[in-house]
Amino acid sequence: MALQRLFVNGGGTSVVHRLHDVTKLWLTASFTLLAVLLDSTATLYGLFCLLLALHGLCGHPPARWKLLMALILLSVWSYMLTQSVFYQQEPRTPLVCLVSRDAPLLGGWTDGVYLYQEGLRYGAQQSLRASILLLAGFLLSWTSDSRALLRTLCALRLPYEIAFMIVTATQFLPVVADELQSVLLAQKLRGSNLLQARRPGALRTGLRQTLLPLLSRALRRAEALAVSVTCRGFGCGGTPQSPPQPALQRAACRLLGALLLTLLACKTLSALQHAGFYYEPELRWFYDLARLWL
Amino acid sequence: MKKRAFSWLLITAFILTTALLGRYALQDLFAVRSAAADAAETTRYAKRAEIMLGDVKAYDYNSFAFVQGALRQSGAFFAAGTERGDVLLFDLQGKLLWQKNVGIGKIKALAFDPLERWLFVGEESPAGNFYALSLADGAEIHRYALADVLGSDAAKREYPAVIGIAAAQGCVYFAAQRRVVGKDRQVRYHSRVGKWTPDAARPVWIPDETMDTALSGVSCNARGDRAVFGTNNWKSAAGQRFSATVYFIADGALRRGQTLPPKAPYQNTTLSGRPQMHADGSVVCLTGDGRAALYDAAGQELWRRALSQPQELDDVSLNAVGVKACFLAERAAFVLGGTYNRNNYRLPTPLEDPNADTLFLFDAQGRLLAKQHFAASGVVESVETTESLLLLAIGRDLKHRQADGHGVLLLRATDGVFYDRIPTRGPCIAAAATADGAHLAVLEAPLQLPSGEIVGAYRLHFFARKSA
Repeated sequence: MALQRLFVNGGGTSVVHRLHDVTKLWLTASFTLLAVLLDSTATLYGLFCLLLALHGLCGHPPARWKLLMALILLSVWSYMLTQSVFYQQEPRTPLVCLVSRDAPLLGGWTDGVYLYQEGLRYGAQQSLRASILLLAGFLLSWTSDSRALLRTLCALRLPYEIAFMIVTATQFLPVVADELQSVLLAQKLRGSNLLQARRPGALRTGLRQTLLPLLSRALRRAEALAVSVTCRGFGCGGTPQSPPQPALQRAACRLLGALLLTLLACKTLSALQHAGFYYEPELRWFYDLARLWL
Repeated sequence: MKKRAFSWLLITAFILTTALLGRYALQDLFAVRSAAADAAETTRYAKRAEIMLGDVKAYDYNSFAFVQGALRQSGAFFAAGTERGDVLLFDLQGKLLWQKNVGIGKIKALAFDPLERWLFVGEESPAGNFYALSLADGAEIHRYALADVLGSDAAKREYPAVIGIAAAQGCVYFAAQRRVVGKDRQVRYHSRVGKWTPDAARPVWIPDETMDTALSGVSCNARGDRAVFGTNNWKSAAGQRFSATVYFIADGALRRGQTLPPKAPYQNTTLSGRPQMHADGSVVCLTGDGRAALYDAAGQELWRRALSQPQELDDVSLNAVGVKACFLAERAAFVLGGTYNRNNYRLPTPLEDPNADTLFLFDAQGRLLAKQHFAASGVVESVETTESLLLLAIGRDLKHRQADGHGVLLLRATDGVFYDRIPTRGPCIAAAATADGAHLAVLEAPLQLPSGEIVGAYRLHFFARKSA
């Protein structure tokens, strides 16, 4: 599968594909807000599984799943390992000693470097947030047509210029990825392989030889795009019209909005209690629930 | 072939990582649930309520410091003060009546006004405030910052703390101190004892100067015209002005300081528990390094008993330490804690003092009426008395590091016989009960085990006696 096709909507007839773009935008915004608001690892994990299930419904080709899995693995383990090393709260339990306190120079300077058990847990929680954002973003991008998305953003009263830039940026990502693949192939044919560079000097040279053509191509493409859209009367036409959102989906979006507002209120109430500003004895059951699930 | 292997590797890694995330999620969920559902019903008591007091640091067995908290009972109320600066008032069933956050300090002392109009609160903080709160709604009636007389150093975290409050009719006594490390690295204490009456804007200091001693607490009679406070000096410093063991206050003035001579091999006498004045002000009992003593109101020693003699064994001096002296009805009660190893109090001792973990009851003439051993498998963190019960809060087992002995031991006040034990998951740091022992409140703290696991939580349990 060409790298570009990995990122753009290849069409589909699944339930998620058939959803109106406004509904999909609502869903993405809701998942994003929930990922930021929620602190309960169990609830975050539930959202993560729900998004995986939605992706499962879409019937993605294997290459997309591989990309998704690789990005999630990268995100989860980078969060977990970095948080595990730099975890500063107490109590903390060392799992592995990376640099002993007695090690010359580095040991005294760092007072020992360890992987902490509690840091792994904290990193797991943070990585769930990042993974939810990633999954929600890909769900929108892989199931929405860019032109339909532009129309929807305009229908949501986003200025045409900004909506255009958002959609173009998402379109440019696969283009850049495709170009990167071309440059890497060209490097390989010339006998140098950036991905297999061992020495720092070779890596530096390889990076320069890869990034410079990529940058020059991107600038050229941006210039061509600018000329092209100006010739077509960029921003001078009327606002593109989006097909109306089905009534059922509109009602579902409103319900989702109401639920989000309720959640925000619950979270605020719980935070006020936690900070000691406002406590209502009758709401003790609610505080317990909030601690467990929010 | 290589691509296929990579694909399978990716899928396996993803499934395993997702499973790991799920495990963390479930563990977090069950950790919160088990913390919330941890309740132990006994044959005599049924659990009524449980209140989480917020997240605090979980200390381990090595740390000298531990989670703080105060718990008191009076009439139809339980009051609790937390490490997070919260003061909470509950009814006997554990229903929260009001909650007030007094700032960033740790609540170290609480006392009810005998007429149940006020709640007195003492904290450790940069200001080191002493508060008088309205019992009706928690409104602040009076506040005095001890930093004004004891100083405060935020850079060194040397804050003043109110360590003890004794309330009487129409007045309240409080003891405050501040630990200071000098340039010579010697630890010194600055302390004050104050008396506050509701019509006064400022407390009266007794004596009217800063003392150069650590304090063990203050106690007074019901009328408030007599009081007593003890010193708690682990080391005697040359030229120390306030070096007596116990000081007597009468009619708002310091009357007398009495020194309990050091017992070999100790160089000075240390009172770990506060001296206790009888409600009528006639006598004062105190205990410290294995000894018990009774004084009259004028400060004259009536009798002294050796409950645990220090013994040398393999160059280690061992004895059981007096934890608490109090009055149960008309008898003087002395609680001795575990065997103390003078070289390192955390180390197991080669043998236990036969009088360790024992309650002694004496009459006014010093005759032993009863002696009752109790099975405490941890440090006796606090001792509370009611008309019917003696409550021992059992905390960390520093010597054997076992986590199954935490809880509250209830002994009958009449003879010290075991009445009940209420186990808690984490170490118990305080307990309080109504006069008839029908309602109990227990304050629990979290503890990190050597395995890294955290047991218990910072929470309050409320119990009520089952009807017969």
